[in-house]
Amino acid sequence: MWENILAGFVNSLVPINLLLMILGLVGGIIIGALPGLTATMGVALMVPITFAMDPISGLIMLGAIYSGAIYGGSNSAILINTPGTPSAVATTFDGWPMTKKGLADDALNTALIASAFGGLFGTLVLLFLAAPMAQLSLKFGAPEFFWLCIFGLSTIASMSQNNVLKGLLSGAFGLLISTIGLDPVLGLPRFTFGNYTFVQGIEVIPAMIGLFSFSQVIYLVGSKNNYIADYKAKKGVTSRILKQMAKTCKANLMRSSIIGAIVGILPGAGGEIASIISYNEGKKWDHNKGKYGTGVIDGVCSSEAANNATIGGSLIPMLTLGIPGSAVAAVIMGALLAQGIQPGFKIFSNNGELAYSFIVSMLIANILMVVVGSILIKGTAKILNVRTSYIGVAIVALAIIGSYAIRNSMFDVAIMVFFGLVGHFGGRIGMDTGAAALGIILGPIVEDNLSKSMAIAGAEGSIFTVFFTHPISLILIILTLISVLSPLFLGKHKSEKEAKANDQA
Amino acid sequence: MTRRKADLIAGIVCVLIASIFWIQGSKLEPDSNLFPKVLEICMIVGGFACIGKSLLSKNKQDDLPDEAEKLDWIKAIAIIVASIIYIFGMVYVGFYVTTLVYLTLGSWYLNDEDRSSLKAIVGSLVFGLGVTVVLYLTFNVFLQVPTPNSLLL
Amino acid sequence: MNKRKKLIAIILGVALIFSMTLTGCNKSGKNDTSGKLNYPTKPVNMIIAFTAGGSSDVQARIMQKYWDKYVPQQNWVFNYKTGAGGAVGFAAIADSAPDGYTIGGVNTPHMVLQPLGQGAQFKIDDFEYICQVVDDPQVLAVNNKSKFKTWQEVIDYAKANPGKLKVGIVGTFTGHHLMYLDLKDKTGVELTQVVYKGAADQNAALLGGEIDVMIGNVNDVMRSVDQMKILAVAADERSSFLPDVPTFKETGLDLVSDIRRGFVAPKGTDPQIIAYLRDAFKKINDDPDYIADMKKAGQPQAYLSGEDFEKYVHDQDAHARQLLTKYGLMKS
Repeated sequence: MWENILAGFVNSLVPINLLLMILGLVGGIIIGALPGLTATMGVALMVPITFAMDPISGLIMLGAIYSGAIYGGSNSAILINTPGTPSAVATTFDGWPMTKKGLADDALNTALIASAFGGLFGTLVLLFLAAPMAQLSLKFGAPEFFWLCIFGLSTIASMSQNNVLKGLLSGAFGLLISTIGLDPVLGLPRFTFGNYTFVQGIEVIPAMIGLFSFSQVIYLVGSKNNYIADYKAKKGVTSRILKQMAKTCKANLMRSSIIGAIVGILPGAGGEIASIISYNEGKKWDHNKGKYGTGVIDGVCSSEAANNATIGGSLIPMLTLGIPGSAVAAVIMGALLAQGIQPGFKIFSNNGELAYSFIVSMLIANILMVVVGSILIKGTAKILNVRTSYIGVAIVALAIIGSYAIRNSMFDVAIMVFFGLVGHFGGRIGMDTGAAALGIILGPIVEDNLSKSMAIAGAEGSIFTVFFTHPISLILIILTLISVLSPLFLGKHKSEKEAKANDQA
Repeated sequence: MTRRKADLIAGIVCVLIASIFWIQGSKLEPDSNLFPKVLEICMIVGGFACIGKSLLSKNKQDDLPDEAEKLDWIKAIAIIVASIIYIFGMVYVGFYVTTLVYLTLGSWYLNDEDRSSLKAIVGSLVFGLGVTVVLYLTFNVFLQVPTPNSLLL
Repeated sequence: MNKRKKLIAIILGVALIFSMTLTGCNKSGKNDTSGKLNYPTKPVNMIIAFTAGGSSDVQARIMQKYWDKYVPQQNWVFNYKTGAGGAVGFAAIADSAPDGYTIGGVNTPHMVLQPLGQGAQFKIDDFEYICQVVDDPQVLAVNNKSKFKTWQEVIDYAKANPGKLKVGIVGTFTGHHLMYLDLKDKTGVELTQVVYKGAADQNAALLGGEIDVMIGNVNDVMRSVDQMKILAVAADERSSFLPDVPTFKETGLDLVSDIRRGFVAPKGTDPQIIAYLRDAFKKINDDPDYIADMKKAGQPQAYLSGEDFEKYVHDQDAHARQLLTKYGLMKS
């Protein structure tokens, strides 16, 4: 193992591979930052190109694109309140308020450092704990998944403390919208309103772009302000944030990265769930809960560390068991297979140099990402100095391409506009866009696992044993109860003033 | 908008949406309608709770923090309508042509401080052209992601 | 429907003429006066009904490499139309202009089952069949710690304990679903059907012990083959990827079930163009390098001519109608 790791370092530091890594990172960050272009798409687009390369170089580049794209999603989340990838939804909760306060630089650098930390942590888990983590991923059955999603949804209750009822209703609305299309049990069309087009269902990304981005544009162009926020480029922000995070965010970074790595190993759950859960946990463990959501680096840090930590996690079951932990891992597995490399525990002995070079290159890519990212931030933050009359229309053009690109369907563009209006007018009557987005993201996973659990319960003859006796389920149920009930107990003696402050945020 | 009014509208909208789904799903097999039905019931109960809260509320002056009230509605509606025209335009004319027109006219119209000055007109034109070229290079040349194409580019 | 299709065809036709005059190319995509085929004169749209990076996409990408070798003048432009288990993409192929510049990949039995069971907006007669390229047989697999050693033991246990065994399949109205119905029909067995979203979570469920048996494809089970025991292959002959696994046929059950991939063009495409495409695809399928690349990617390559593939799809249709009707799954 150690000689393979050493060979990995040598392979990663070959100039051509370093260059591919940098190209991959830059390309990945741009793809990730563009709403609608996901990490999956970025990696899939590059796979045919890697066929012409040496397998090690190809994998190094794909790994760099993956890391860059997941981090890149935070840029648009922070600057224009539009998650570039679904895993950056939770980054908007604090990132956008920070931008509005004029702290865009701080938020961007926090996201960068947290992403790199999470990415490093996930890769180290992949390097040293692959075997036990792979076994853990198999322990997660349908009921465990169901409770994990419910745990994720419980975030809504603590997210919208000022108006829990409307938060829950927004979440239920999102969940209900997600049931449009083919149902997961019988595969029959449902809620198509007599129009067959609806059979394809409401795709998460166009709906999210609409809810966050298009609705935001309506505010931006209509508001009296000519710029999104005050912004002046400052020097040395990266090192200042690094110091600040080392001082105050250590526990947060560790906790978020652990959550990310564990969620990452589960097939079907990725950065979007990890970042939401981690944001909620970050808030729960903080002694000053009220500050979350008002624009603090802690919130950005929880979400971004977790979603990058899922990368290493998602590669564990892919490399060891041939079961990809995310859609991107599935594409990378396709690339491996096309090179004639079979995944499985044997990969570490039969193709040791390749496997370890890939893993080690991800370590180096995450460190390089801090350098590449901090240079790119200087450019991307400049959009805050462009008048909203320009930014607004440009966001609409990007939102349309992004919604279209996901399935090449004008239907998705229509969905995007529809949800833009829902987000805008819904916001005026107190709808919580974040909660609605959570519902749309988690809805299909909740229902899918609920119906699988019901089928299993049918065979085993007891709903109770299936849902309430598995140890992991019990842990998740307890965690959910804590997260729902603790605001009720702790919230009682919160001063009226603090509640008001949350209201305004 | 007052909190009372917002609660009332929110409640009615929730009950309405849930009822529409309820009626739509009435002919579905029980297996495929289980999860939606649970949600519909939650939304109807929650919606009535919202309505009830609004009707029972004594505080008539409590305003909801609402950024939208300060909006310039003409501009906001203009961007919505323009975007919809833009989408139809790209289906029937072509993506990059309509994008150029939309970006140029849109940014020129929204920049209402000095709409008539030459600088604003040229600025919008340069902006429109620049962004269109960048989009074209990114999506068609580099990434080769399809954009909605029709008659023209 | 027909009216709408006509309208789309007219719009696209006008669009085509327009774009040609604009590019200064006034030769039509079909024949010039000498009767010689002048095709292709512009890139060919390749509609893939599944996500980029999936098996269908990987296969088509390998194919593209050889298309460029045999038809160097024009390449393919990939267009992913995903959703509803492929039905959205298949319908998009059927609805596109039959000018030879849109072709696409289809899967059986999905394309047969979706119109029957889910009311999908296309029919198997909406296509001109170019060829079949992949035949991925389905298998019955258990965890390698399972007490079952043969498929007969599974059936016997299930018959003694109806509804107690859980079988995992991916999606409904898919190849797995059809094979399960077939197995039920031929053995009278009653299992609990657990539907998964994709092969990844289904394989994980089998390895984790959530389901007792699963129906999988050779292509998918190969990736986790160390942790699984493959009981039987539902094919006429043993798979070259799994030479030690018997077929159902040789162990006494006439069960053949597979997922096949092929390429089609919309109905009404010029027969000369179809002949050209069939010829080009045949050349690709005969290329030894292509066959080697397919083997490397774990894609069970199996060529069938357009005529044979069309006949196969119609046979499948008759078979599926009979099974779906028996189990009350036809959309009325």
